[in-house]
Amino acid sequence: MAAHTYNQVGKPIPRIDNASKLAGQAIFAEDLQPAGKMLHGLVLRSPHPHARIRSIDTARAEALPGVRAIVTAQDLPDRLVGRYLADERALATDTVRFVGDRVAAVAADTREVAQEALGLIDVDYEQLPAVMDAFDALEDIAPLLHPRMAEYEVVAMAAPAGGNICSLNELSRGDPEKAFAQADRVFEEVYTTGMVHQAYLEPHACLGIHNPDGSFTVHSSTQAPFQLRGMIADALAVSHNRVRLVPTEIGGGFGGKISMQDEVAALALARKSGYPVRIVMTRREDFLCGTPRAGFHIAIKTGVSNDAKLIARTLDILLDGGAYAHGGVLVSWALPNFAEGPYNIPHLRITARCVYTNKPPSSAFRAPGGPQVNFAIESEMERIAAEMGWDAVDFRRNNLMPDGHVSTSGATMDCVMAPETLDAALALSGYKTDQTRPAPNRGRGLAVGNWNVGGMASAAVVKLNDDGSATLLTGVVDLTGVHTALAQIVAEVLDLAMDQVTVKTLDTESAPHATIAAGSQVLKSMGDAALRATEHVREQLFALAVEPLDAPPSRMELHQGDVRVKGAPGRSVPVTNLLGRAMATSGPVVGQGATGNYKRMPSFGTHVADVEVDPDTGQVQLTGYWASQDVGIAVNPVAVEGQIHGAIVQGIGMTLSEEMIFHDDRLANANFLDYKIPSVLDVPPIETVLVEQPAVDGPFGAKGIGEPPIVPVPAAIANAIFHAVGVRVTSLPITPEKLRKAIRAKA
Amino acid sequence: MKPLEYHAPTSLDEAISILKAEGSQAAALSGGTDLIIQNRARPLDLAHMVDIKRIPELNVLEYDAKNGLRLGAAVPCYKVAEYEPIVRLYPALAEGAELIGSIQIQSRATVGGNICNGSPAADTICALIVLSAICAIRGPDGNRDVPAVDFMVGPGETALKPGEILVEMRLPPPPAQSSNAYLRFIPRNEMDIAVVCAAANITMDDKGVTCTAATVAIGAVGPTPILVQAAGAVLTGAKLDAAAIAKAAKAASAAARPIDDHRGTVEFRTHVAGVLTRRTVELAAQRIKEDAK
Repeated sequence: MAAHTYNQVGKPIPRIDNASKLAGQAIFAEDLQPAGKMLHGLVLRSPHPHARIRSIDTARAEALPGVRAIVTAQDLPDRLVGRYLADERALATDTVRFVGDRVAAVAADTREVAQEALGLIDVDYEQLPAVMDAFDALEDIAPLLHPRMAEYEVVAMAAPAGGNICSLNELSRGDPEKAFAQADRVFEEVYTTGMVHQAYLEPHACLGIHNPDGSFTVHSSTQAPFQLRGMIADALAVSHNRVRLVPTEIGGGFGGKISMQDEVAALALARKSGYPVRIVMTRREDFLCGTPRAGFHIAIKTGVSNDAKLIARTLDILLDGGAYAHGGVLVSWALPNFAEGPYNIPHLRITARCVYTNKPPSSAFRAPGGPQVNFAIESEMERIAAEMGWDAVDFRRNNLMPDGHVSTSGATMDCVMAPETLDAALALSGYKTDQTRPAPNRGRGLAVGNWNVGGMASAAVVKLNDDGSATLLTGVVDLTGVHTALAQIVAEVLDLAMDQVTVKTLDTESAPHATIAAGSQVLKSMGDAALRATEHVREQLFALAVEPLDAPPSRMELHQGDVRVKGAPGRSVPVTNLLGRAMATSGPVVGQGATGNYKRMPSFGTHVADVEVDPDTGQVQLTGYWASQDVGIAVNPVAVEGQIHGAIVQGIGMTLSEEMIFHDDRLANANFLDYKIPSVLDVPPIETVLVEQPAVDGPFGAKGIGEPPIVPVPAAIANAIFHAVGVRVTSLPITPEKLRKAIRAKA
Repeated sequence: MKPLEYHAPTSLDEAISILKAEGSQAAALSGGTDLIIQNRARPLDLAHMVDIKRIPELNVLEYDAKNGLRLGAAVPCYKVAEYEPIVRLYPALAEGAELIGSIQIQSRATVGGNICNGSPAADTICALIVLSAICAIRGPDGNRDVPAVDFMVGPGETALKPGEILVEMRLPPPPAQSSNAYLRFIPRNEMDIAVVCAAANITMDDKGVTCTAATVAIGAVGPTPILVQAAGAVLTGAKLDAAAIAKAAKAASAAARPIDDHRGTVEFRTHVAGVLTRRTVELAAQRIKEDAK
């Protein structure tokens, strides 16, 4: 453990938002109630996975008493929008591409009237053949879901490749084919993973207001205020400053609240009706129209030498992108950068293809692509070691990437902590390679995970109040408790108590640009911006203190409300005095700080799972779980541990029980009865260890932690199951039915 | 959506008269943990809900060795799961009641409501069948009794006729040297609906070697729960060993008539019906042994 002595950083400080949430005072989008009349909006969604809209007749619905406005694509500019590829509309014009695609929207005096009105809108659909499988989408005879894809604007990262492939991304090094030919053994396998929903507690909700000056205000439960504001403004064909996006408290996101949902529909309804319009999705709508984790098909081929070295690998990954290119394209772009795993493989090629299907658009979900790929990589490491008669831990250790490793993208990786987390997890769990089957039907599994966190720019403002307390003004929302960590950073630099620092989330017209609250990057991106803004404040205070202290700023420090000369505690001046001087001379003290887009940081973790399998039913019971995680410096260890626990629970879900199931081209389990997230009884006791080594570029050495701990979970559990019963299920989730079938096939 | 009128009668006659008068627009409301959800998700065209929880006859919970158990239809599941005579003598019923939903749900949900909902996956119906429960019904035409095994007649359908109310379930006192058990299979550990469920009720001879009576019921594997007579037949009179139990399990699998859906395939459910049958029989036998100690 790294030694550091800070007053606030590194302390397990309770979340600063606990009180408002526990008291039920935090305002979520569904709670919003503007002064005066507000209408309830509902969206008419396609009942078909793929259809042409011949006509929409709203006359009967408009005649219903209490209906105030109905909007269709005709009420909006003819605009295609998208974060990466501009391929979708706020409301469908002539084609719907998944069950749930937005067709029209109604605003009415009550939700009940709006519901009734939806049933009175007559839409004449011509059903088209649906493509429900990523492989089918690749067939020559597959219907083209976006025949005009070639004309779509590439906003970022997308690399459309014709047919139904909305992005094809590939990176390689060396010559894998030649290396396979020279390898002592070559292993090939295919792994698949299911489409999984983020299952946040709070469904999507928004409130749209059309202001008297013609501008728009929209409150939304979003992780991405600035990105979303841009998309909404683009869809409305107004300049970005004409849309004020007010982020609300957010009841969980996990990547599922980055895309646009019903915001434009709400604003169009508000404009047409003259009243604010609130749209709150039902749970069913959220399952149908959310942006889940893509199902993956991963063909993995590995060449090894007899001295237990990884020589060559190819990964051919097919992502089920769903109806529109949301974050699926981002995942496709990112995959070649991280899918090398935590290993150093001289000959490597990673190919990712994101294809359109008539399913909900897939997007980001906690380490998008990470656990899927790690499931393949770490299952293979265990399988290869078993077949070669190698110690699986030694085999891993023999091939882990060293510090300074140059990734497939050409970036040099700093602070590679893979071996350290492996050692920490072995010590924590007592894992021994010759003791992975302690009893019949009981097994123990291990996996090493890697992930690259961060990357996006932020700016922040810190203002000093006249008593010396500080307020951080930021445009980033708090998904994880990270605002508490930001407050700790501000308090640390200014030597304030926690209750002397406020973190205020502002709307997009008030706050400087902020990163999205995703990608495990807020602590680094906004943390750096906040750190620099606070240092800017400190710089101004020191400049103000030069005269009264008769010392240069380089000799000053802040201490409990005073600026003092280092090593001379008697020579000090209260900050409040300096602020008085500032008012009389330079003006109020306001600090600003910013960070540009930055190099993603690698992050590692090693997890160990214990399972017991019921061979008669194939049911898996987790009996213990141990996780070591590379965190840089934990600014708030209790928050970090919370993130690790949460990630493990979500990982357990996608490994054992969660999957969006499509029957007859329809989602069969759009509810929490049949979409099975783990309950508390499904989660074993979890022990964690934080591996601390200051990250080169992180504020106070911190690294992002929200996503990485989900990465090794599926493989750790799958390897434990393998040791328990000697069979390997290569598709997630490993349901009792699949596992029993595998056990029977072996017997 | 229509406005709903809520009634809370305090007598059976009053409840029956409202249900009779309003016909298909009225439903009896017990815990509401199924009815209210169903009415919200897929409006049932109801105009009246008749809350039956304030009717004294539906809140009876008593046991005596001569007459057995009387369980009022509106007794909440948590009371059923904690009632000492049920835990001791009818553990299969306690096991069903304590699996329904969460602790909060169990404070509202009732065994009566559980079976009136008519789901073949109901967590208490298999236990009631193997425990030879009688469902006491009162309606506009008076009282009638229906054996639990005949209470469900199709998915979501019961033997209740318009205007009728399930008043109580009567379970005979268990014979000496007998016990029972209920198990369900779900992919997680709680808060779920049975993929397959099974209950067994076993009576042994004085020596604890030969089975003198056996009843097995399986659920979620057909339109209604299934009393597996063949399983009872192979066990009755047999030495209760692994071979006999395996035959009973096989009979249960053979009797299962499941469907394929997102909760499980025909093949898997058929197999698990056998596994659960074996385990409930073994568990009941184990309990008899423990009681003898």
